[in-house]
Amino acid sequence: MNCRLAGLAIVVVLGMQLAALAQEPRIVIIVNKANPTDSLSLAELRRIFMKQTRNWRNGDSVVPVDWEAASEMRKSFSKRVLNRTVTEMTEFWVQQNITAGQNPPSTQKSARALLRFVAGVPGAISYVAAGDADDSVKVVRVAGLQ
Amino acid sequence: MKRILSCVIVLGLAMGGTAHAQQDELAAVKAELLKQQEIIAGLMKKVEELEKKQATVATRDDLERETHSQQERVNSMEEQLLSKANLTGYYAFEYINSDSPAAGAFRQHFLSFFVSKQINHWSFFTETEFEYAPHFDGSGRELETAAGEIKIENAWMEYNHNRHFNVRVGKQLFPQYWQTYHYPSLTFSTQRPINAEATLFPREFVGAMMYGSASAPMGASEVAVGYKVYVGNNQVPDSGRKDQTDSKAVGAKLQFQFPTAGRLKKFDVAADLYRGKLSNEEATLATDTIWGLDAQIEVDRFLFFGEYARGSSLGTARYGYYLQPALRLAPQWVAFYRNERVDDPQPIRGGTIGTRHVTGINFRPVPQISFKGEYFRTLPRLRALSPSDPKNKPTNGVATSLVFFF
Repeated sequence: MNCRLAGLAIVVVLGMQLAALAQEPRIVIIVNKANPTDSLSLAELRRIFMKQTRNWRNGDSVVPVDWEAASEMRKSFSKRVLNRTVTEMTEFWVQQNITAGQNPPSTQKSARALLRFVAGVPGAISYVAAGDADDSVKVVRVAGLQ
Repeated sequence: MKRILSCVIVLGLAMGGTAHAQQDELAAVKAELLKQQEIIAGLMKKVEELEKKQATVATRDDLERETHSQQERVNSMEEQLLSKANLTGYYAFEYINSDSPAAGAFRQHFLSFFVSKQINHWSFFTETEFEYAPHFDGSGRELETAAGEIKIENAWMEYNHNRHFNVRVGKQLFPQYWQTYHYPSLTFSTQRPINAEATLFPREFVGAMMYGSASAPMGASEVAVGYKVYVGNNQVPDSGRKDQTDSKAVGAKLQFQFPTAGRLKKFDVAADLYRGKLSNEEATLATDTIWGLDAQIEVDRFLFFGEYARGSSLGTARYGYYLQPALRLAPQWVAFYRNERVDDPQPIRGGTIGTRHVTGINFRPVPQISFKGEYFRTLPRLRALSPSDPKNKPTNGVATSLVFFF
């Protein structure tokens, strides 16, 4: 009986975990169409959004653009890519501002605004839900980011 | 005659029947008309509603166009703002009291302004610090008798070639961990560790620093190595303007960032080496050599920071360290404990010798605002040799502060 209950509990917990994973939006990374970059590693993406990489390989300035802090996309990206909560990242930017004069990436409220920004700025990079990307931008492959 | 009368009666009855039928028909027509009028009124109302709806749809389009137009204006303003210099800063207000002879007091400790600007590969950064509410009344008093302190703590510009190679020149903080991150908005405690207060590593220098890093992927994470190499004026009075010898102070830092896949958020260790000149009271120069180690580890809610440094000059050795474990109790709350020790018998550096225990709590309703509270106990090292000396008496105290980053 105890084994059955334990098995049931494991199934329920696994089911909840899977349900939680299923709720996470599938994120795609977008860059300007003129950007020759086709793929990035997860670590490179992390460095870009922490402003530790300032230039693309072609010399253009990297311009990361983020979602507003309260958005679910931002929370999900922060956890999965930056390995930090949004609050911890805000603390990181306070630190960066004080010690290196660096500001966090600018933010936009919607996928539409992000697409328009990335389509208009050569060095821009951002992320949207997979269904929101259109042909005004280029989707970059990131190994390890489903 | 009877026949005529009968015909009249029949005709009268027939006509009366027709009149009643006409009235009924008229009433029915009137009713039908009213019904039709009601239906028409209803239809007119629906038409009006539909027209209103159509008008609303058109207004939404207009509003959307207006929203886009406003967003573009905001973007344009943002671009203009980004093209300006960036102004930020912080403010720290404190209260410290202990059972030492000094009275407990509020301290208007720090008011600092940062101005920074980045143009392509070039960056500029400066920090102006107003410490202890400086007051110069302009009445011709000697500057030494004025209250407070105004100081340029940082003023540098740098060229950022890529992540492997960057050059920074100007007045800058020494790259040791606590010196770099000593700001009240970044630390858990109100007071600095005693080994950072004592002159182990210097705090700032005027000179040039080259720095960079390289990394290699390792699973979902990466391993990274960073370096900092610097040359600057020696630790002498007025070192922002002059030096006392052509031989300059030099130093280097080597950092290792270990892969942090899984629950490990941070695992950094670093080694420092510094060699320069130090002037004593007779203004003669003595060679000062210091080396140090530091580590920062973050695993889930557990944080650890530690530093050790050892130096030698003027024929004496000195060392100091702190070990600071901390626990993030909740996203806004951190509890910490810090064990600090310094052993520096050289009087010109203050002759600080002792141990201090600090334990406290840090509350950040938002990351830019900190409330800090801590208890500390200082134990002079010589208390066992001469316990009756008031200088060797252990000291207990509390320190609290409020810090606002803007």
